[in-house]
Amino acid sequence: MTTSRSRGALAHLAVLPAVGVALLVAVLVTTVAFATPSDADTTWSVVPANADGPDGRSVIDLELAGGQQVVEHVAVINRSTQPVDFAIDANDGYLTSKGYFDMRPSDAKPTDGGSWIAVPEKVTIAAGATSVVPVTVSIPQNATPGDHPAGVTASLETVSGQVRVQNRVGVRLNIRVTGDYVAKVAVTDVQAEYTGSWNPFAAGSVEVTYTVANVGNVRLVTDNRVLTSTFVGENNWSDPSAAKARELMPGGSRTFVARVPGAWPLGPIGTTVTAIPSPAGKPIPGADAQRMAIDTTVWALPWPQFALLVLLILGSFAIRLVAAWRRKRIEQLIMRHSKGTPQKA
Amino acid sequence: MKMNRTTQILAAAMLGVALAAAGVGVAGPAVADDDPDNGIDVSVTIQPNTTGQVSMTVADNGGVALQEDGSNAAARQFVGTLPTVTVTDTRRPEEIPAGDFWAVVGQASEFTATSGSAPPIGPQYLGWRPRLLSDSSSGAVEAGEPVSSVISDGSGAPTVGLQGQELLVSTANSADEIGTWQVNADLALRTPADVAAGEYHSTLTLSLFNQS
Repeated sequence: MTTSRSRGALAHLAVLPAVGVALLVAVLVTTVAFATPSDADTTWSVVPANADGPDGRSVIDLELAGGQQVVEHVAVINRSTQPVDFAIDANDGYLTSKGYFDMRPSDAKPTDGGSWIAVPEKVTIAAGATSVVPVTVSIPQNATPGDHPAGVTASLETVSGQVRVQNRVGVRLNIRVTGDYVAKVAVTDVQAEYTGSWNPFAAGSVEVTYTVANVGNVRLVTDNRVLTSTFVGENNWSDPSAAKARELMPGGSRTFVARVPGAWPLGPIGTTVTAIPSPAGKPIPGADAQRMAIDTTVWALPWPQFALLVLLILGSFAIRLVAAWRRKRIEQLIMRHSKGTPQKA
Repeated sequence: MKMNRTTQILAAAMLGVALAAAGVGVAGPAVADDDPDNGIDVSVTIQPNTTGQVSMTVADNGGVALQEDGSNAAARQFVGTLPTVTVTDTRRPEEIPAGDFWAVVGQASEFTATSGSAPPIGPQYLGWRPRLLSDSSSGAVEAGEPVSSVISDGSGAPTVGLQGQELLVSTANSADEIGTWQVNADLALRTPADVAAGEYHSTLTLSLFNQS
């Protein structure tokens, strides 16, 4: 599209007299028009940096005491063929319901880690150039110990449109304030539902919905396990999803659904959900990680097996009836036959 | 748009004259450029970066204008297409830390009326259906799940809207696949049938973060 637009513009120029120009220049300039077909595209990266440029980190991990201040950097790399103005923002970070990191939008006022970060409002970066932006993190004296997720982004905003699209690229800041770290979770809202199989020789499954909340002050990954038990046996299930999908920020919670197969419908099925927390990222020595378990019971009655039993009983009755009828008929035939012919030895 | 060769040459020639007349002076030296592939360098040379990065590319666009389509007695529906977003990972496999992955998450602000006293329309009324336009050779890169407005679009997608939780595109593991991927999304604003008439604006924020 862009190509046609720029060529369209050139076509307008061509209306003006342009005779007698060296063919060489013409060909070369035409090449340029084709070599940069997407003048309007903007391509940029934002990565952690030191004062000299990108330093190879993927995220910025900080562990600071209340009242401390550090100057970090992010490098904004403009890979476009034109200079670009980028708005720089810092705000609180959070995880989505599926565990993806995002930062609150630019019109939201930061209230946590994001409010401790000072960045320049805007940078203008020449085509192909890299700009190192200082990111000053000042921890308040009375900040609570633990994690205060935040982010820094460089964004472009379209100026118009019914739905304005703000595209941004950012760096995640894991800000940890030193103090007593608590790695603690709560398991709530456990609900179990039994799904039976119509095949009486197959076990059913228990669908367990549960919510794990981070009630500590550091980000955690929980190992989630569900145990189902009937009086004939037990089934263990562990969440096989990638650990990152189970990361929880302090104050955050996520609802999971587990389907545990192998449960026979023999009355009460006990389900126990256990969440075993461990700190996300590097281990925290001395952090008090407490596992949490909660039980619930779901009833499952053996309807398919019962139906099978009824069928078996009915079937055996039918077989007996048929057998009795046949026996009678054979006896009659023998009787009739034996009257006319003498018996052989 | 098709143009014939003469027009192209005329156009190009005209630009050449303009450049020369403006005293840009770049065209001259560039003709003598040793590297024929680069042609004339009319802008700043892009320095090669020694290490690769994950980047986002967007075309210059005017946002999205939603058009009414599919309204009925139960809801009014306004649809549009999100401008294409390109994510490129230029890192070498050995530069990618273990477990590293990236994601683009979308969140919409409420639609506020430009005039009058019409109440705003919350982001929960805006749904989307992300679409990966490029192939993912390893299958690691996937578009996010569709999300419906709280007024269901009947597709069975979760009726939650774009309230800061929705994934546009992500990789399961950066090391599995490096390359470039394009994604867009169908947008659908589904409002109650009695929504106040007026001009409304929202901002849809798309954020690329390295997640590790």
